[in-house]
Amino acid sequence: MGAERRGGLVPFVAAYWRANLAAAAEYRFTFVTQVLSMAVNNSTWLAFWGLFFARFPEVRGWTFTDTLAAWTVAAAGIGLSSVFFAGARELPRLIEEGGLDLYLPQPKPVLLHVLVSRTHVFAWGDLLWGLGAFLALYPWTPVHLAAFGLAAIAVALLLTGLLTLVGSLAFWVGRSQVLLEQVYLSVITFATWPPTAYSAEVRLLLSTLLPALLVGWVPARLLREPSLPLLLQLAGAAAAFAVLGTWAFARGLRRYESGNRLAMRD
Amino acid sequence: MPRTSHLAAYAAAFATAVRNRLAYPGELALGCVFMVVIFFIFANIWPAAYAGRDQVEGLTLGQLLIYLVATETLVMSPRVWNVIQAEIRSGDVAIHWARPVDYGLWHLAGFLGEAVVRAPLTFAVGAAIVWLRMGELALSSAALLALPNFALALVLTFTIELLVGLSAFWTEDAAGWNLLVAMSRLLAGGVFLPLEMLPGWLAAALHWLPFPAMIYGPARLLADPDPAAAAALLATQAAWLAALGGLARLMLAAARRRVFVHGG
Repeated sequence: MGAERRGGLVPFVAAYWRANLAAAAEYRFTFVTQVLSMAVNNSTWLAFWGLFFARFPEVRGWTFTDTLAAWTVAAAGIGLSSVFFAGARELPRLIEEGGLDLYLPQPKPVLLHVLVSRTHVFAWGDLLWGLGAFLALYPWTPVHLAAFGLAAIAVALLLTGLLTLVGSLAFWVGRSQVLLEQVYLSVITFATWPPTAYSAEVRLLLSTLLPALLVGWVPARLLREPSLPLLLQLAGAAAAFAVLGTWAFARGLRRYESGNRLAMRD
Repeated sequence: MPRTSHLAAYAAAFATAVRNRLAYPGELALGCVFMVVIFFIFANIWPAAYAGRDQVEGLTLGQLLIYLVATETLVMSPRVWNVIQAEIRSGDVAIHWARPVDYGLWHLAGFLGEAVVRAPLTFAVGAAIVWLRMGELALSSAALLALPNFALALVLTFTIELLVGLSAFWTEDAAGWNLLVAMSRLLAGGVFLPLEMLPGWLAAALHWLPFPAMIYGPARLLADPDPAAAAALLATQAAWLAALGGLARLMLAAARRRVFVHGG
């Protein structure tokens, strides 16, 4: 029975991911436009940073090369999180509007079902851009490939866990969708701007409560100088956020009450 | 219908937008979180980048930080393209066209209503963080002469939003176009880096786009007030408004011939 359930989850998740991609790509022109525009977005940001560092060569030791590394891994990780687990960003809305009613009677773990039930089309642009930037700019040695891949997966896990943790606050405080979006934007922004300008106290905050440095700075260091201890630190932080997010959702679900709202699944 | 009742309708749309924005002060406050993040980043990054330099391209650090507060105030203006896109997709646009008010002006009134709440709040948050970090604010009363430029900049911003939203008549989703406009605005509008800090050939080329008149120009005036520059900018903004507003009119006229409402 246990083996059947484990085997059942993998085909279930894979089927959802295939369906999400098929739905997203149904309108080909829109899909391609959005993917390309995200790639253009990231490239424009790098162009801006290139111009910035041409004028100001370094910010307390942080250079354009560091920014490039941070963007490469962060984009891939952010893309992975929003392509495969986009449901995390909708969690507060689902909780507030009784949207979890759809998932509760299903014979699959509720949180996993919510997380994999959606994809963000733009995130495909992030993922492909990050992958393309790595392949174009970094050596294809086994060490670098492993560092990039594992760092991107760790970033994706960390972000998904963080969003689940913050999103689960909706079980206790209402209307937390805005808070989740603000936290998400803040983490991504701090992750992609030079971290060396901040005090030690701020950097500590950005490595813990608002783990932006774990999305940008640490993966950038990993990519430039692969290191097993650093990778393990990043993986440990990602696992911690994933566990915290799962725990918060499970605790919050005990408080959930159906709103008896009739709605089409979107 | 007499024109005075049209003005009353636009005024009502403006007032309703103001009331809507103020209806949930908690949500308004939460929306300031990201503003605090952005201004905090600026207040730390730029002193480190200047590294003790008095001026870069004629801007002191204090002036640059005020410039950036101004650019963010303009960039964080309300979003309308998604509202217009939703109306086009759902067919609600046909209901709007049945009303005896201009579709574009109606949305402009709502946009400005929201902007008069958001813009001062954004500016206040940014100025406060700069003042806390630097101990002073490089802002004089002469900066008030930039207010007409700011007002026109907001109207220009709305016009671009309107154009992006109207593209939904031809494409299924205008989100991609919105992202491209946002990126163009970032570079060409000098949102994070004033245009004089770019290579000369690039800055000259970017001035052919409307974004410097929308963002860089008014923000530069605020940081370094100059009556002659303000007047010249007003003329440039008016010219862009005429051109882009005319394009929006053409798109609306073409869209009226194109719209198909399924009914039900």
